[in-house]
Amino acid sequence: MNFRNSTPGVGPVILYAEDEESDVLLLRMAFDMAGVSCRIISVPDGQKTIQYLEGSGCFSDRQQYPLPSLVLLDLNLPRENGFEVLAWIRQRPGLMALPVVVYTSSFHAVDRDKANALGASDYLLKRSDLKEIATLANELAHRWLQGTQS
Amino acid sequence: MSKWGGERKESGGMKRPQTKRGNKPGVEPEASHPQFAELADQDSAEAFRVVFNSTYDSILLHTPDGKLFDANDTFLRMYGVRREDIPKVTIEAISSPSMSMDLAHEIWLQVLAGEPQLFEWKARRLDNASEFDVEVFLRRIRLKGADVILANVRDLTVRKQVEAELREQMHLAQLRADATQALQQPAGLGHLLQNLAGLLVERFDAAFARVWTLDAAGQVLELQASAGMYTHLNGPHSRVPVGQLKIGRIALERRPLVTNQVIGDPHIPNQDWAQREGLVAFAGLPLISEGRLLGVIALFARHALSPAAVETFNAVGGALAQALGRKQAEAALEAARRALAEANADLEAKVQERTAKLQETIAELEHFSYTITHDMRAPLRAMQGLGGFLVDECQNCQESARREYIRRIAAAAERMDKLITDALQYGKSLHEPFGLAAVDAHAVLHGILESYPDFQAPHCSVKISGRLPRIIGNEAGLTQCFSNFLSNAVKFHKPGMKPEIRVWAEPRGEFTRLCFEDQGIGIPRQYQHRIWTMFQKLDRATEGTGIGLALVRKVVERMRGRTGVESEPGVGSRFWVELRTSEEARVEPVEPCPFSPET
Repeated sequence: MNFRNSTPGVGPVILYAEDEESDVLLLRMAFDMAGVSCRIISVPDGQKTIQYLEGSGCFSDRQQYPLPSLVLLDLNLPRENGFEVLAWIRQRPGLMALPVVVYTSSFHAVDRDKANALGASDYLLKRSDLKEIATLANELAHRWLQGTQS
Repeated sequence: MSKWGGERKESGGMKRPQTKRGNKPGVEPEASHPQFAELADQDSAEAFRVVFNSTYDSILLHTPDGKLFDANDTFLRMYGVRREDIPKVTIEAISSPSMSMDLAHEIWLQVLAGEPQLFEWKARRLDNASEFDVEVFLRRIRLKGADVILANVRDLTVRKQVEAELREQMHLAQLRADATQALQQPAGLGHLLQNLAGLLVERFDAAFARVWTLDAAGQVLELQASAGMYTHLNGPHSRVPVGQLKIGRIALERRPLVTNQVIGDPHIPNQDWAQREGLVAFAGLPLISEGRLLGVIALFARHALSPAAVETFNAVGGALAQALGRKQAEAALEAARRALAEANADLEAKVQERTAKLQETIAELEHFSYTITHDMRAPLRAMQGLGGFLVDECQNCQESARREYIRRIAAAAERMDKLITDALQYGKSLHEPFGLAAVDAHAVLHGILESYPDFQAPHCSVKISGRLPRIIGNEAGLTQCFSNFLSNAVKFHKPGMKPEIRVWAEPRGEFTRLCFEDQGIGIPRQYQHRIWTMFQKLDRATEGTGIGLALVRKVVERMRGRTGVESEPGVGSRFWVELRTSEEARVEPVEPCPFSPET
């Protein structure tokens, strides 16, 4: 399986939809560096993301795969892309309030506008400097994870 | 004439023309002509007889019961009567059988009642029964104590002929006018020709009239219109090869064919038919315009055609030929227009098709570029991130070479990422929608200076002279220009010197030139034109991708302005951008231009 459960049982859950393993690794390292305590569960494509969120297929065990407090969503995902996943989430009554932050390398205004129109909670550009990513991790935790529990 | 001179009293109310013997100065009386009174004195009966027999009109004397008892010589000539037969002549005998004797009797009674009568009559000669028109004046007179009915009869044949000719001429003139008008109607050719054939039949009282036009190959005459006893357009005469039948011969010989003796004419082969139909005249005319044979017009009539009628027929045919020539020219012009329109439509369709393909290709290329750069940047991020992590981890590493290698890997990845980002930015600035509006250049510059510590003290000194005006541009575009000018000035400062930049505005007609001057290393003259080209770097040692100024030029072009540089090595550079000065905050959207030419 491509998805991984980071730091099981510790802190709130972040579902990271990302097909690029090195990006997942950098994010985990950045969260560690920032000292943010959370579980980062990664899924490698849009279809798995949807399955996870609806608790179907191999994600039916909500104990092991609880609903996340935050979804970090890459746009350029295999199968259903980030926009399709976002649209699907915003059409599900139980997930309408779920924070979904688009985390992408695309700085195109059209992508940003489209994501906002589909109901993205925020639109963040990917960083390559680990320290910058750690700063980002802190900001994410501060904004979206305060007062949440796994 | 003066021989009728003197006062001659008429017994009735009718007066004859009178002339007085003139005493005009210098004019002698005609003494050689004896006066009527003198003649009467000499031999009144003989004189009367001479005058009586010499009149232009016939003079007849009837008894009140209608018996002719005397007449002058003119009557004898006019009616073909011998003098000895005068007593036997009755009014009925010298009248056309078509004339009503009841009417004659009524007139006679009115004359008897003392009312003179003037009327036209159809008379008949006794010798050959030919008829002719006369004007009759009847009056009751007293002669030797008895009532006598005097008839004064004038032959109207010549006058009637002149009148008939005049009527025909007017009729034909009207036909010409009507034909000309009919030919000028904006109707289709078939309709126009049919109208004309109808007009010929009506005005010439023709049995039928037909019009043929020559086909495109010039080989066959095609029947286009037929009026009168035949109105069908099919049958043996619908397509007549040139040279065949009388119609084809008229076309071949280009000569009119006119006859008033259809029966017996060798050119009319179907004599039985002509006889059966009572046809008398035929006229056929080639229709020729500017030397080109266009068709044939022809008619058959049951009466002879006068020279005037033939002349009119020829004139109508000439007008028709002109109209046909014009119509054919118009048709050719219309066909050419249609062909041109079709060619234009084809061209337009091709342009649209190719534009669509081009747009599709551009979209594919953009998608490709987007995807590949996105995918390229992912491993770069790993190299940068992990490399940076290792650099930090190796801060205290004893092996300086290994530390340097890691630093270089991370730096190379960073540079690669910058190249990709700038290239993407360049493409974006070319293709994304780009609105033009009034932009406060001063505020934009201040915004940049406040946002970037590199442009602030102590790293550098930026001085703005005066207030920069509002210009027509795009805020994001202007930000890119200013940022590039500022970062270049910072990047290319003289070693050991703090970068100093001065910014000011110069009015240039409708434009404003915004200048950024530094005291940096400057650019040699021979390289100054190259710095605006993609990936052109003059100094490998300095950071940068060589895209910045190319991007500036494109962005300025999209803002409908221009940009340039004046520089001297060792002294410094002055980069400038010229944009239209704003008069009002108008918004002018500009569509993306995928093929903005390089300058």
